[in-house]
Amino acid sequence: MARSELTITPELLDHLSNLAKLKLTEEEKRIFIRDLNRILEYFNVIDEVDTSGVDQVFHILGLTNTMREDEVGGEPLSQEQALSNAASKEEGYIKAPRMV
Amino acid sequence: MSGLQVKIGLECHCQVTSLKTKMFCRCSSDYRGKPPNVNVCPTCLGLPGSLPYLNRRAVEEALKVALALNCKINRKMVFYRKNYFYPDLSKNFQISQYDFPLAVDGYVTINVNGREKTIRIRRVHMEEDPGRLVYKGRIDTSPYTLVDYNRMGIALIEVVTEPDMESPAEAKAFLEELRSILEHLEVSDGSLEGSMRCDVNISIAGGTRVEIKNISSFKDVEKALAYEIMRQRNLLRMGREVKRETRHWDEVRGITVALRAKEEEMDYRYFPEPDLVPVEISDDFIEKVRSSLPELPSARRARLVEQYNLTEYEARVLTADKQLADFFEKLASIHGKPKVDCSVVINELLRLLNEKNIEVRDLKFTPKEVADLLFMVDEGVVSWKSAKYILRRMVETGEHPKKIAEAEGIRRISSVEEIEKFVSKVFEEHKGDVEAAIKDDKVIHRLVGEVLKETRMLADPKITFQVVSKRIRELRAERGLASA
Repeated sequence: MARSELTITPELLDHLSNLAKLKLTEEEKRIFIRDLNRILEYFNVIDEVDTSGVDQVFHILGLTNTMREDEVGGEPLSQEQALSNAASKEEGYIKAPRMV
Repeated sequence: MSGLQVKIGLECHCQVTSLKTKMFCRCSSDYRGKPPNVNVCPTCLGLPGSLPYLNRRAVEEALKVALALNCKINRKMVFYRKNYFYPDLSKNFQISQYDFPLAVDGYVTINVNGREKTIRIRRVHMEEDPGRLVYKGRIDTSPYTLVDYNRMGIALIEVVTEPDMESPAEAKAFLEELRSILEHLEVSDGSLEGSMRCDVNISIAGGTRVEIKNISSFKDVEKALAYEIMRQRNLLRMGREVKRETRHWDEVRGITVALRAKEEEMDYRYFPEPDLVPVEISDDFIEKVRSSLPELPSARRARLVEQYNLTEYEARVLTADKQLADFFEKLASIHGKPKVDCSVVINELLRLLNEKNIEVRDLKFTPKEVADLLFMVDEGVVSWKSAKYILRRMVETGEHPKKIAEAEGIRRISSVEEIEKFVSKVFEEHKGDVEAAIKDDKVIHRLVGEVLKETRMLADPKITFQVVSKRIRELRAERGLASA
């Protein structure tokens, strides 16, 4: 039930955009706060359902233990294919920004 | 300051090196030494439309580890997505476990300086290995990061301890025991580069907890901890505060550097992985795996002491490395003098391995050849001193000891007649010493040393001493002198 208490504040939005590595303009922030709160409100309807005595469900199919044998199969991608979507590369590596 | 209480907790990431494939796809697990980004497929890269498919053997191997660490096994385990944006994962989340991990509440007993201590295991869970990041120079000054995804998706077992260790030595002892357990289970080969990595939590005197990330070998953990304790103590001594932060171990410079402060700490927003169904672990499966567990290091130590009359210490040194213990047992079964065989393995052989920085498996000979060498010593064909030299040459060349002895003219000279010839030569060349020895017994040793040198240390020292002493006594008698 705690979920229904959740509201998107400017601080929470900053935290979320920071985690998602997104830079938002003031205008975008205003829109996101409005939209995300509406979405949360919409989902609050679910909280009205009485779930006491119902087990937690992790997967809608109700299947368990879908596993495969430990055998190599299929061709790996070529280096060229693997890197084909990379914005920047160097000597077969994907080039990413510095991390610290 | 040294009295301040240190608390250390470890998160160990161990690759399941016994598998043929990755954890959720059929890519080969053999990623080492390949050009970058050639051991990947749509699934491990997380390309749209691909689905993870769990490797059954990975679960079995992880269960072996959890049982060996005396854990409670969850009958139902669930995979979660751990969400973070960092280039070591191309799909921006890692499949890991959160609630409902494989196992919880275990323990391992360690021994530091003869004192036993129990380290509690908080949890054992399964997750996929991220890719490998390569920096130009240092992580904190590298202009950019190079990413290789060959390793991404390799099955990892994460072992998380409670903060029960109180010194770097205890942390080292725990890691050695864990490594030995994994090797005895034949789940993980700790000698492979990067197969066992560690994150460390440390706090001093109940103060702020600092995390050190990504220590790439168990060997470096002790060093990183020693550095971090010194750094935190210095801060406390100067009346400054220890910040809650994540630090990175710089193995080249041997220091820790700040990565991010608590405010920027990760918020992983875990949620159940919708592409994988839960895994139910039945009692039958647990019993099947439990009954297949091999002898573990603690049991093996007890047996080595009992069966071969070794000391606790000797058994501990041997079992710290499964291959070393295997080598010893094979050698003892052929040569049949366990005390000697153990000494040869943990003193001579281990020293050579450390000196050459190689593993037992890198040796180009088997216990049989070492037994042959020890039989040569037993039969008096070579001296103990020569045997040590021959063992070194065996490590270097892989040649049979007999061949080395022949090629280098190594034998044990024990015939009095032969030694007498060398003695005559030395007495001729060291007349001053001979005169001195006639007057003073102590100088006899100097002459013995010269004779041994002349025989390239092949002569039996005891017989040589007897021959030299006899000669000196004869000279004294010729001159009518009593023995000094």
